Amino acid sequence: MEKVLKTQALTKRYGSLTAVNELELEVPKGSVFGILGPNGSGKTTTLGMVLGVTRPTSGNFEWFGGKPSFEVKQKVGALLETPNFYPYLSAIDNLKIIATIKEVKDPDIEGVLQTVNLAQRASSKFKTYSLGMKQRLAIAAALLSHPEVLVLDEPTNGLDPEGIAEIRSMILDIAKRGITVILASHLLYEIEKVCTHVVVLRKGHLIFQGKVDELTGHDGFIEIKAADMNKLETVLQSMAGIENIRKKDGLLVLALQQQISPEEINRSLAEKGIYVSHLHFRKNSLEKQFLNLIKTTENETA
Amino acid sequence: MKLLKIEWLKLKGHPFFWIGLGLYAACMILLVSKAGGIEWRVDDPDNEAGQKLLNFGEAGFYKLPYIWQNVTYLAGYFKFIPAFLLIFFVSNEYQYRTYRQNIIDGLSIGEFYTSKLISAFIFSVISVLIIGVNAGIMAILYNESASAADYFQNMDYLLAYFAEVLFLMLLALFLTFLFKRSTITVIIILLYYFIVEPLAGLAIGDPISDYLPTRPSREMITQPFTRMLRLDVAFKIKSPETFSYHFLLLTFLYTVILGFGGWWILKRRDL
Repeated sequence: MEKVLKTQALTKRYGSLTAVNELELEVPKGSVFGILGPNGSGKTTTLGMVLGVTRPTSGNFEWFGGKPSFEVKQKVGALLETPNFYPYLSAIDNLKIIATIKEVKDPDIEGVLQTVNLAQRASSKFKTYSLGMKQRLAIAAALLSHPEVLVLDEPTNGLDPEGIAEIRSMILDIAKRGITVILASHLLYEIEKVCTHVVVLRKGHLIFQGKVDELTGHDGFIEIKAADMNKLETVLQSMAGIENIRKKDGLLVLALQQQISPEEINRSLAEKGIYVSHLHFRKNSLEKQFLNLIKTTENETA
Repeated sequence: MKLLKIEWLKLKGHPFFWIGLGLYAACMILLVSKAGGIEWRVDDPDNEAGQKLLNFGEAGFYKLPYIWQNVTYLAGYFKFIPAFLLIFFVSNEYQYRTYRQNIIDGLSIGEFYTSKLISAFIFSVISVLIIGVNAGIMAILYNESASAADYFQNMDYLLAYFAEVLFLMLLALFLTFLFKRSTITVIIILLYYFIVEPLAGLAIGDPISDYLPTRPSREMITQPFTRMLRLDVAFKIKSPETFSYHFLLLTFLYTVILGFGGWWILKRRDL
């Protein structure tokens, strides 16, 4: 599969602190690529390097299989951290500057503003915008040069739920047009909602790279109840694929490993003559898995 | 042309650009037109006992060819106004993080720097135009029988003034890129220009102090008043007939050095 971005041993050190350590990324064309990690894990530094504003200490990266150039920047629309515009200028004037920088002939300023629902406020000064409008204008700016790749860094940070939903649906719409989206976020559910691929960073190290459903997995919890709780517990204890069993509010809570499904448990219990009166499957919360992943790596490296 | 257009879009939308330049132009018009009214007590040869009040206008402030030197020397004290405007606009690019966004959007660091050099150049040209037109109008009003050649004599003081202002713009630009903040840059540039370097000059002594960075630009156009008020003899000095080409050359040299210095700072830094 074609890669839009590839990094090789990309590293950034600030004194003794290694912000990004030998990072190897491959962003497939057409994907919605999530970069997930807690604050300070090196997401913004990584994006800064591939966008040409942070000098890598070592390693290199390629856009579309080549060196960074003006043509690459024309094909990549990006915003880093916060939407950065001239506060004293209107949306139109700000976009005019960007169109001039990107050498876009006949920029469709009205069109991109319509895409992000800002057409009505097009002549207002940027400083009068709400945070959500600023983020939307940043997306409009990134779309101005008909990019092949859109890079977004925490685009929903600080927004209200409505604003968050709006930005997310916007990202999905953009992805549907075939534009590759690279999205940095510290929110796992955000990545799960919009991304197809994900890397997880922790303290500048890559600790997971794959498809989103590989990260979220199948394991979870089952709450279970039967008439004879003691017999139920004995049978479950002998069953493979169950990590542990604990009692809670008159129920048994089973932590599952990936290879066993609720169906299988129910079937085996029925075969042994136990009929459950309550069976509830709870997916492992994503945040918990994310934290687990980070914790596991921590133990490994320690 | 692309860079010029970008700078123009950035500048023209800011009310401060127009207000600042408008106030500057108004100040200069006032300065040049009112300078003739400044009075000075001089010895009166017709009156053995005492002195008389003579104003600059009567003393020949607006007379060709000296008007060019008189006006550019006086205006030199106000060149900090456009310099502060430049500092304000360039430090804004850091404050708004638009510098970084410009680079992400497609400018190279060199192009961004060039666009700011263009701004420095534009501000210098505007300053010279304001002063030149002002002086020209006053020259026409006060020199009824002057020929075209009379006007052109010593008009090269405008060139010296341009070099002086451009030097200050480049110094302002260099310090703004160094400190990134407008307030600190303004404080540093004033401290350096009016205190640090003069003191350093005293410590070093002539003639080496002539080679300190800002000295050539400020000494290039000498004060015209002792000659105008016929005080050269009293002060035991001889006013030169023209500005110092030696200092003009040094000023130009320092302008180029600062130009490369700013570039050197930007090249080495993360944004």
